[in-house]
Amino acid sequence: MTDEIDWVEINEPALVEGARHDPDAFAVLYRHYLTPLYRYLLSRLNNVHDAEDLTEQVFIEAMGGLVNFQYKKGGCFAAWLFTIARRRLVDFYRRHKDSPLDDLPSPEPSLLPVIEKGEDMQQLGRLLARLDEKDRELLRLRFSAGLSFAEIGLIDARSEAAAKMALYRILDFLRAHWEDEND
Amino acid sequence: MIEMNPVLPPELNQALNSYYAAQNPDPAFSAHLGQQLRQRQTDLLLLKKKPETKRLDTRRTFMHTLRTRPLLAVAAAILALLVLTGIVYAVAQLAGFIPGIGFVKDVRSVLQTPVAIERQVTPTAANESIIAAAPTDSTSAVNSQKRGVITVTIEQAVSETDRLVIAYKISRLPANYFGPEYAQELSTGSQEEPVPDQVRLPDNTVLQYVSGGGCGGAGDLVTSWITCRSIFAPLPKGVNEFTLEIQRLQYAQPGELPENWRIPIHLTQVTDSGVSGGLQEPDLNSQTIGGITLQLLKVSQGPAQTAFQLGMKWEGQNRIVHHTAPITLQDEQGRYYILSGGPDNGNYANNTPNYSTLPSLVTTPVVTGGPLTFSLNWIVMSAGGQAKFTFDPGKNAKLGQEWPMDENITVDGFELHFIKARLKESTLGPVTLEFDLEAPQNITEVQLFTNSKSFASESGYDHERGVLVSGVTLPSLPVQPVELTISDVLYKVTGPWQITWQPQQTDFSAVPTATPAPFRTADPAPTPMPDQPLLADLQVLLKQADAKDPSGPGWVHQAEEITQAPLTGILDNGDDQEQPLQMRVDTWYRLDENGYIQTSVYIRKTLDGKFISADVNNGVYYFSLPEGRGSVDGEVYLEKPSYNSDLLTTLNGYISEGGTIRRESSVLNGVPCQLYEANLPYDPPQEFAGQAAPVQATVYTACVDPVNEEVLQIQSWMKYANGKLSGKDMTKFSPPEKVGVLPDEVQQLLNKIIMP
Repeated sequence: MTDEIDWVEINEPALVEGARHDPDAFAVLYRHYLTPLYRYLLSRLNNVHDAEDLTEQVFIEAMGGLVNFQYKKGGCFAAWLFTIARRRLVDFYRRHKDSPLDDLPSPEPSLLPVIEKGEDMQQLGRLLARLDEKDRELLRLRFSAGLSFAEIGLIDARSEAAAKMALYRILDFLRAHWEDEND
Repeated sequence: MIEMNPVLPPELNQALNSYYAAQNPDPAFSAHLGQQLRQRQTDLLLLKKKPETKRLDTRRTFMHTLRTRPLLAVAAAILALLVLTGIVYAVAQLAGFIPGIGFVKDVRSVLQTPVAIERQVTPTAANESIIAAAPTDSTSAVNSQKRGVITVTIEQAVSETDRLVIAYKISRLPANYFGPEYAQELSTGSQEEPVPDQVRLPDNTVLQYVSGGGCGGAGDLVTSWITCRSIFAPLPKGVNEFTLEIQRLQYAQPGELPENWRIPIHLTQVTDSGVSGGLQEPDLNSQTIGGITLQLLKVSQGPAQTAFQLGMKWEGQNRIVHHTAPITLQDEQGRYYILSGGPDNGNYANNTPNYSTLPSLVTTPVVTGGPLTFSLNWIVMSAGGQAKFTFDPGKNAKLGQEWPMDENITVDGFELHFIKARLKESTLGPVTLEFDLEAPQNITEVQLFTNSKSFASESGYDHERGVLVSGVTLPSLPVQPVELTISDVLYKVTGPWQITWQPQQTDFSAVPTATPAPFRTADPAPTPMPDQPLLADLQVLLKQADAKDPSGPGWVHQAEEITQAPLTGILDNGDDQEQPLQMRVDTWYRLDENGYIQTSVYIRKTLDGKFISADVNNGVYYFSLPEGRGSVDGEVYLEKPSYNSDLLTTLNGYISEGGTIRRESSVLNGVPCQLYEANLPYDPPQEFAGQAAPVQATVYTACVDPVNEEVLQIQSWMKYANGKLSGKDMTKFSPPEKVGVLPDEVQQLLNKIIMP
């Protein structure tokens, strides 16, 4: 992977606690998670305007949650933030009845523009279209949001090892079929 | 770079990254949202702000995170009571202000009385602990004394021509439902996503859900609760019956609490019966200062509260309101009304490029016939413009390196002169690129943005060096020129802006408005951590001291002398008054016959007697000077005074965080004392704002007179990883004493506040 998110090292537990009463601390969290959250939402929505709208909603809810102690000390902030994001996505799909609540069109709509960009992307598009939504979501959480396996596990209510194994299976599938198509 | 076991072909690797992580948010969007969040949080915190206590945590230090007093997030319980009283008022008007809902216009129908539904929690593995800890409720007509019953109460519902708003409360959750003991259960998310609330009409059609106005959780020592506000598309004209459907309660895990709630609601048609109040639109303007004008847009004078909506307009494009000082309201005698935030608290709406609606403000019913004056002392505006510049650190940049600069950049008319750059480590991250600037005096922050995929920044005035500072994190030491954008220049405009408003004469004598006294729970003494005999000994000692302390009813005074260690590297954004490092705090408590605090007054002065600040709190309302800031405090505890800075709670906190405690004999100013020392290590050492080096441990000591059982002095300091020690924070206590007559300055302070 060559374009991974460059995480700036921050003392997250202290920041999260600080962010309950200190806008400066929340600003650091905001900047830390803005790009991963935005990329994740954009990968789900395929529309910059909608992704920005939901990014805004999620951060406002998270900020209010921190200030009002809805976020529990000792929790995982990233998992909590992305759980909010998924809830707001459900709201979004419900309001936009042309976007199905339970399953997304396949292949993913956001893939269509990039399919035009090259053979590799077209090949990836064909492979992603063969995955179910659960697997594509795992890829988004890992590659768009850059979440750790532990964080993904918390969001998906499975163990870190199970999240890791699930992703490896998907990558194995992609690798095997990528090579098949090239043979 | 994410490591993966499966080795992927480079092309597949590249394609995955290109697809999933190609796009970054637009810098203008990210900067604007950052400002908006800061403003909202500032407003929220203002509402929640408690009296600055007389303890050592009056500044923004890491000690905030160590306060482990087992008080929970305290809700504004009184707000709920106001909701109930407001309903009576709301029924007979077409427009105005409804607590829990906000300003309303073109109201068709409202809920006449709250609707409550109770359901028993079905025991499962997921909720065993919740049922065990759930409160019994002797006030409940149904399920009295039965555990594990959850109540959803529709507190208000308002049908307007353009929306339906429903405010409800989920209650009888266990105490500390939002506390750490439930953290594991509640932070793990869920596999199944809940659907938003629905409104189903009698013909089975479902109203479009527009937005959740937000839910908030809170609790006290007995129970926890969640309040929610949902907004839907308008009810069809003439339809006043519907069912609110809640699939899963907010914050609940699947199966944890009863699901699929169906709550029938019947609204009552409103008629204009002539009750005064309603909605006034005075459209009054302040004078214009610095191109900015404050406006009074809406007023609603009701029997339970008076509500205001203010707005602000300004000259120039590319500017928005960043945040403001608290708005104050005074009568002709200079007495302050306490203004607290309405249900749209924190909601700054930048309606047009040069106009913003401010969050609504609520106060008690106006009781004077004379004019009232709104004042706003300062406003921080944000100027954009997205000026870009490049900084070239060369190829061998190192931490600690500095570069002289002489670069002038103009942003929206503001001239910024960059005079120095440096690379340093900071609490923001491992590599921070920091600039020193010369800028006009009213500029408080210059915020930078980089295209680095994840970044942090901070800015403010460095008093130690006398320069404005602006820093931004980098993912690693730069090896090529760094492209930077000046995303915002924050500048302070000083007023005061004032608007004088003449209240309408009102007569609510026929309207029942009595607000019942809030139910307040006695705050229990903390229980020492198990297996800590030293703390058990200390508890015995402190109980003996308590027995000798002055009792109620009446006023008790205690003085403290506080010395605080200077902090380093704290950037000043101009919002807070600078605090001296040494001060005297005089506290007066008005106690009831059982010794519980009814009113507390704190006055802080320099050691030579100059006024710094004051707080007054009567358990329901809170007010502070010199800002004139007030709020509904909603303190649900009946507390007894702590004349020893909550020593037992603090030491408990150190132990619960993994610290240790020891005791030895010592002498303080010739008086023998038992010295309790708590030590909390950090492994690895941690960076804390204001500290000169990474902190390896914090130390807290208390000197307790074993004869008189009085706490004589407490101290705290940090051990740095480099072996050095920080300066010490110290508080010296004088014994509390009963007061027959309040000093004039205290009485005058109380007289300045209209506090029910």
